Amino acid sequence: MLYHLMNYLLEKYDYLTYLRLFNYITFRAIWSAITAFVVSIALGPTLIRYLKSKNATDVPWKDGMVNTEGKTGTPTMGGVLVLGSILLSTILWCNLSNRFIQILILALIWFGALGFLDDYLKLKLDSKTGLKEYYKLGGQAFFGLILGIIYFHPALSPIDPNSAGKLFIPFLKTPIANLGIYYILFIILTVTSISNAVNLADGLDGLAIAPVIFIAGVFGIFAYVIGNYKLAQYFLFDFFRGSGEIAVFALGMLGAGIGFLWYNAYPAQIFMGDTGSIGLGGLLSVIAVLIKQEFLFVIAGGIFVIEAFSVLIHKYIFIPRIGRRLFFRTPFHLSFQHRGLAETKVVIRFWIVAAILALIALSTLKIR
Amino acid sequence: MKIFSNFKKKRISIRKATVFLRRAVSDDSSDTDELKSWIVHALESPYWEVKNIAVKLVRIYRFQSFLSKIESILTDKDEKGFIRRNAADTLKVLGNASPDVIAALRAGLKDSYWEVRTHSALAIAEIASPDQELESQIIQMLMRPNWKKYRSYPIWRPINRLYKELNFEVRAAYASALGTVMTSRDNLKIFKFLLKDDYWKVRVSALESFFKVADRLHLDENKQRSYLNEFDTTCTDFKPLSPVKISLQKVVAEKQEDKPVFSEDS
Repeated sequence: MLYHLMNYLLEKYDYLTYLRLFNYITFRAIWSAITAFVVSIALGPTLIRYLKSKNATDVPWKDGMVNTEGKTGTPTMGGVLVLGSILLSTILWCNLSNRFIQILILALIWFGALGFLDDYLKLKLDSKTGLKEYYKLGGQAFFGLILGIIYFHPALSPIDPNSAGKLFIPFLKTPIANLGIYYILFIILTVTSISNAVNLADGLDGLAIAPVIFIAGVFGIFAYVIGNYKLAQYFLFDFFRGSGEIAVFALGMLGAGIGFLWYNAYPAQIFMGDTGSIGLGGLLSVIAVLIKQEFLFVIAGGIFVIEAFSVLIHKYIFIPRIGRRLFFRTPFHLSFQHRGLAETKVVIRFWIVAAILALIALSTLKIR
Repeated sequence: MKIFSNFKKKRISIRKATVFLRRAVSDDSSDTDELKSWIVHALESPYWEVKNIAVKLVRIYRFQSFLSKIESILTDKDEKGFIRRNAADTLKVLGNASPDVIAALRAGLKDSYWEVRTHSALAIAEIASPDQELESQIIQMLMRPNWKKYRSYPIWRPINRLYKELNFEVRAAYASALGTVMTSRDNLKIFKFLLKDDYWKVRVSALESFFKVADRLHLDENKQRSYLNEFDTTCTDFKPLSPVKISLQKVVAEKQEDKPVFSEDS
């Protein structure tokens, strides 16, 4: 909004040269982060009170017993705060005519709604499962399919459709394959796996949001490089015109994440719920697809990858087929708690690992 | 078609087993004879999930008549790990410390799956009595042969030079078992190492066991204190206390006792 407004004013009153500042992605990205952060901080207490008034919590007192430990009584669905802050900062600071941003706004609404429905059903039906797994997967896969169709459609695609099928991996400057139309299947796989990986990792206070912050920062930097012709040439990336705008969105995610962490740090005043985990996971997956850095998520989002693989291996191979455990517990963070580490220690160690993985991911900018 | 019909059969068997388990967990009264006859067939089921539930039901209802079958399940290496683990747990709950049960648990201590070793050791801790052979076996499984040469907990050398058992959960269970079976003062030194273990869960088990053994062997207080000085009190975990929930708990408890909320006693 501000981008369009300032450009309009600049056209009309050409003496307002300082308004050119709003054309710079770096300026808008930083202020997008700050805006999202401020909005999260400001609206947090109101949302917490509202969710409590709507009983969007577990009751700590049931059947005459009070649960003094555990997380009962903490409101969930805090993802509304994160996603709302991201949306607001995007509307304010992004170029809304940019196709990349339009796709990301659509993804935010879609995955946010999917997660919201899951949380709502859990609370309404007082059940642990909420939306059935195949509906969730179906919803994620459906968006992946839509994204794939948009990606290959000549009129809708934000990049050259001839480049749409190329598959890039970190450390290599040339694509390893051109999957053509089958790339759509790869997009569906990427979107469902990343979205679910973040969902699985969201189990301890602050565990999921901090790695999301780091990954958003990394993707923001990559988007800026790929969207800048000179930098893309220097770092040997394919140039995608307009993809630099994703950096503004990604930094909005970063700012919103930090604002949410203000309330979600141990002991949490609010949880993000599936609204947040599926929403943020979906957004990260779409960003990864749009800048063609899907495999970069394996490094930058290594925490989520490990969590997801631990569950997959345990739940689908070891327990049903072999009839014993491989890990103490899954998702993987529970193994550390089982070994006798406090929740806060586990979370902070995961943050440290996530930060190191983010640095390694950034180093792949140059190691090509 | 055969694959689908087998799959359907399996699903029906598991569903039926789950119904029995849910009734047991929710304390719903079941027809014991019907349940027992189902368990007899379920313990021979080709589906390990059904067998697993049957073993759990024997534990929940404490059916002593299945004791020998549970012993044979524990010692059968071809059984799934979960079933063997639940068998060890069931033997603990059944509480029968006959020589056959102890022999089965001793075999469980050597199992390749760590959860079976853990639960076998915990069962021994619960039901066994002081036994020199068991004591030797546990120490042999826990420590490397040269452990007595160490004067104190090794700082510079890797811990696997001291312990044969590297899984902390199993070590903690072995420490618990030693509290029940230890007879000899010669092996007390083992607690000097266990009380300094890297994992606090092992240390806590060792602390509780040491004082059991100290009482049994009538260790003098100075000696007990010297061991207590070895105990590492640092911990990587803590129990969070919500002051709001504690207050709520207090108020609810008082209301339930029909006491006035505000009284001179409270």
